[in-house]
Amino acid sequence: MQQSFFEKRNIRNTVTAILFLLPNTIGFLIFTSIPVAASLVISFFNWPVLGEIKFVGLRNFQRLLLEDSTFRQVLFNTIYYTFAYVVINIIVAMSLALWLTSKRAIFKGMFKAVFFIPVVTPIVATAMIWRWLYLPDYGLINQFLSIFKISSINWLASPQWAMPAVIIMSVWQGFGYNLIIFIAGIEGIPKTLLEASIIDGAGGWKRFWKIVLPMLSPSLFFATVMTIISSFQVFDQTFVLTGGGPYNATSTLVLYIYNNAFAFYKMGYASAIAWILFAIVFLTTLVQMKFQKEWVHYE
Amino acid sequence: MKKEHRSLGLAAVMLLVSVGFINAGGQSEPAKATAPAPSAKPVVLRWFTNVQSQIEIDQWKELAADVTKQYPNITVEIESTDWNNYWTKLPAAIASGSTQDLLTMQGQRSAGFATQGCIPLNDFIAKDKNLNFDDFEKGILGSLSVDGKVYGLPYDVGPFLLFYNIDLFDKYGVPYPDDKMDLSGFLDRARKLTQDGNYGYAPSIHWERIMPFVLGNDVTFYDAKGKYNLNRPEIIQAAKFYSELITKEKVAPAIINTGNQYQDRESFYAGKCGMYIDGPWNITNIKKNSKFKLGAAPMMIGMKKRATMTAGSGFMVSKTSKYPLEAYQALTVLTGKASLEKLAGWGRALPARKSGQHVFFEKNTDVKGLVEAMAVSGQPGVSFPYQPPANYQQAYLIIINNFTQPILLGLETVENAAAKTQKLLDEL
Repeated sequence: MQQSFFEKRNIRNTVTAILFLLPNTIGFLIFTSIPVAASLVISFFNWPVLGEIKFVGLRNFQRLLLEDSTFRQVLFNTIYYTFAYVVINIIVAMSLALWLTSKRAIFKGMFKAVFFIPVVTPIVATAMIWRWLYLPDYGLINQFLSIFKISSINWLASPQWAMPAVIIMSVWQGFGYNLIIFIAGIEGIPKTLLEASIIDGAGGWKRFWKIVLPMLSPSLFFATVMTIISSFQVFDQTFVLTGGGPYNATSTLVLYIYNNAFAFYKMGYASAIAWILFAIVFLTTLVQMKFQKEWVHYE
Repeated sequence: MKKEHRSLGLAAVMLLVSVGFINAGGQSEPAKATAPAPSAKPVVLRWFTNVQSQIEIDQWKELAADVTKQYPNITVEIESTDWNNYWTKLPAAIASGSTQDLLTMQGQRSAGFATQGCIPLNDFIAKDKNLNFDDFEKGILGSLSVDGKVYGLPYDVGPFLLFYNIDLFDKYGVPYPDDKMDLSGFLDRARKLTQDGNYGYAPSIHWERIMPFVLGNDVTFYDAKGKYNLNRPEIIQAAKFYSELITKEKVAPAIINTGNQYQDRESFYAGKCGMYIDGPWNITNIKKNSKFKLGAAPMMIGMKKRATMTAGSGFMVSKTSKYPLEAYQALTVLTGKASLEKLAGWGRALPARKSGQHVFFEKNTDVKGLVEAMAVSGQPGVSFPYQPPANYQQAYLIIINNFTQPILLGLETVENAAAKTQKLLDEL
């Protein structure tokens, strides 16, 4: 009878847990799993939104990978953005995290808040402000550059400078998130390790490379993986700031998906692009996970 | 109650609430548009439209209230978004069968949307003795019709005009644009205005701004067979003239953001540019956003003739409306003489009804030369109602940027840009 009581209790606990999980699971199924599965199916069709659906097999993927020159440019733009953004974001966040956790820093709380505000600022508002900053004649950035006798740059209308302009704005907006992660990681390093290294005569730079960075490697790994994934999915910045121009110079994969789906009304083709993007992100993350044991120290 | 029972109960309640929320978001079956029946009970119609400012929202709300004054059982609720988002959301709504009752429709886009998402109004019109159908301008009615079926009733029509900043012209002693001005006269004025950080002309990457120059060379982007064809010398010549305003003549400021299709309006409102091209529907916004005296002139005489593009919009009843007759009734009020005279008074539109157009001119006497400009633009062979092929798509607007952007930025020759863009258009 004792065993029957525990069995009943286990079943009740299981049912309770399932019921608590069900709302999220139902939502996940309806708004994520099923649409994702549907997009895979749609990618094998030609669906012009306002018209008939026609099965085309792998034709969408074939055209995308072998014939679409715009896709190649868009893929290059996305990789360019991802590489530059991730590197700069991590360097800026790490540098400011080291400063804010050092003894020399003042008004730490205020700076943490100030650096995090852009993260929670709506992208449309951010883009409006940066549009004005990037104005060739009256923008503050060109005014600042003129102090160093650097001639005015037409940031958002120059194919060479439009993407750096997007990256700079994105770094300003996004580094605050990684900053908080790195601050938490640095504050989690045992102080005894750093004190012992000081006693052993290690300078600041050596302490950073030999102690801080290895101890911070789990946080760095997390920040890098998440930042790379979000960078591949960049859309808001390019959509609002440049519209993908000039002349496709800032057109990225997700923007290309959006245009194919909602401007060209090619839902099947857009779905195919989405799955290519998924494959790229998946493989990149897989490689990172595989090589983490080379440089990430969890102990 | 035992702790386990409380947890179980709470979990069950959360599940029920979640399912309830999910069901609340569902869509009901769309009504059959072919079986209209008047409803005595109160009806709420949803009207989806595009706006550019709060001013416009308030104006449309006033017209919506007028519907209720005439038909007390009908309430019209406005749902609005900006211009670009409207044309993104609309096809998605039509494809999913979840469109609002009333839809705002631009004449040049209607061919694709009308048959897919709206109902023909011919039956309603035939039975409606109060409509005064002949009062509508035929051109814009044609834009809202497909294969002889009228899908929408128009509210405005208007040719693209050349607006100019009178104060800037006076400052530099430049003669105002008039109906005798040709391209060389236009260029001459633009050169004289380009000084002290000001420019003669405000450019935009938007294809509509280049169209009057193209039409003035007696050609358009699509050929007689209805296929887009940019590789024609007349188009190349006209596009070259337009692009060289920036790249060679320097009478127009450089494009500073290809994501902003309204750079010309912003530059003009700021008083930095002497002239720009737009439609009479934007007079309200020009007056609100600028501080100078405004003038209007017909499009200059182009390379072969004077020509301008005419555009207009109207309203349609969606296929999914449960109250098609009430929606039609609301439509007749929104496009009735009283409503269009209000729109005209606000400077929002040149009414699509001939009987209401006098109000537009009476209320905009502060816009110098407007009456004459409209009269010249209305002459036979001048206004060209742009009616693209039936498969006109939003895609065209994205792809045509591959033509306008590189030539206005000086990145490609017009010939190369036309060839590359044509390749993309061929895939449409």
